[in-house]
Amino acid sequence: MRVPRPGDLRRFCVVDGWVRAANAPGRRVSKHEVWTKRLPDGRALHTAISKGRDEYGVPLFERILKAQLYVTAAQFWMAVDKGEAPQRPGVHSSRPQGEPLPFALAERLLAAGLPQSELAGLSQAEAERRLAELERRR
Amino acid sequence: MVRWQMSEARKDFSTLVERASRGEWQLVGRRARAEVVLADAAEIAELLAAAFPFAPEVFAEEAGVEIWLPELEVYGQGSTLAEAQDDLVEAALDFVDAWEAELRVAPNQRHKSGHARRVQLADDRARVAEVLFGATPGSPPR
Repeated sequence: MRVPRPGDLRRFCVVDGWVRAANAPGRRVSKHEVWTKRLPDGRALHTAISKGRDEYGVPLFERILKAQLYVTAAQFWMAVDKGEAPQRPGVHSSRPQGEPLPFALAERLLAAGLPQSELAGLSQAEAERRLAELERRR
Repeated sequence: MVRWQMSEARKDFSTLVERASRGEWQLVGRRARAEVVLADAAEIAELLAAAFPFAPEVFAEEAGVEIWLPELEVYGQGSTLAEAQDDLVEAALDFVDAWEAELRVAPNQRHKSGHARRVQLADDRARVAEVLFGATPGSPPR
C-alpha cells in the first residue's frame, strides 16, 4: 500500500477544503499543523500533521483515512495526485443519520404529543424511553 | 448536599470553593434545579479515569514508532517510543483545543466527551502523559 508523507496529507487538506487552525493569542501554540473541516450534514473532521516522522506506516495511515479523513485510500490519492476533492457518502443525502425507528413506535410518539422535529435523530432506545415518559404524564 | 441559589453562590463563592475542595459537591442553580456543580477537580479526574480509560496502540517499525489513540482518534510519531509518546501528548492537547472550540457539538465527535475532559483536566504535559500512558517508566521526558 502506498503511504503518504506529511506534505501529501497537507495537500489533501487543501484540495478537500479543510481549514487550518491559527495559533490564537493567549492560547497554547501547537507544534503540529491542525486542520478541521465541517461536513454539510453537521459532522466535523479533525487531523493534525505531526512532524515526528517523514512518512506514515500502513496501519496508522489506514486509521487516519477511516477515523480522521473519512475517505478511502483511492479518494485520498485522487485528491493528492489529481486535485479532485472526494465525495463522501451521506453528505449529499437528505436521509437522517442514525438508526431508523420502527413505524409503530414513531406513530405512537407523534400521537403522544412529541413534535416531529424531536423525532429526528432519536435512537430506538431513546424513542422508547421518551414514549414511556409521555405516556406516564397522560 | 448543599444547593445554592445563583445570587447566594456569587456572594459566598470562596465558601463554595473551600467546601468543594474538601470533597463536598456544591450545586448551583437559578431555580430549584441545579444547573452547575462545583466539585474537587481531583475527584472528577478519578471518576472520569474509572469510566473512560485510554488504550493507546503502538505500531513499531525499524525506522520509528507510531501510536494511535483510538479514544480520541489522534496519533503520535517519533524515531523512538518516547518521542512518539511526546508527540501524542501534543496531538491530544491539539484535539482538546479543537474539541472545546468546535468539535464537541458535532454528532460524530460528541461521544469523545469523557476522554477529552480527562485530557482537559490534566492541565500540563506531564499529567496528560500520565493520563494517556499511566505513570510508567516509559513516560516521555518532562
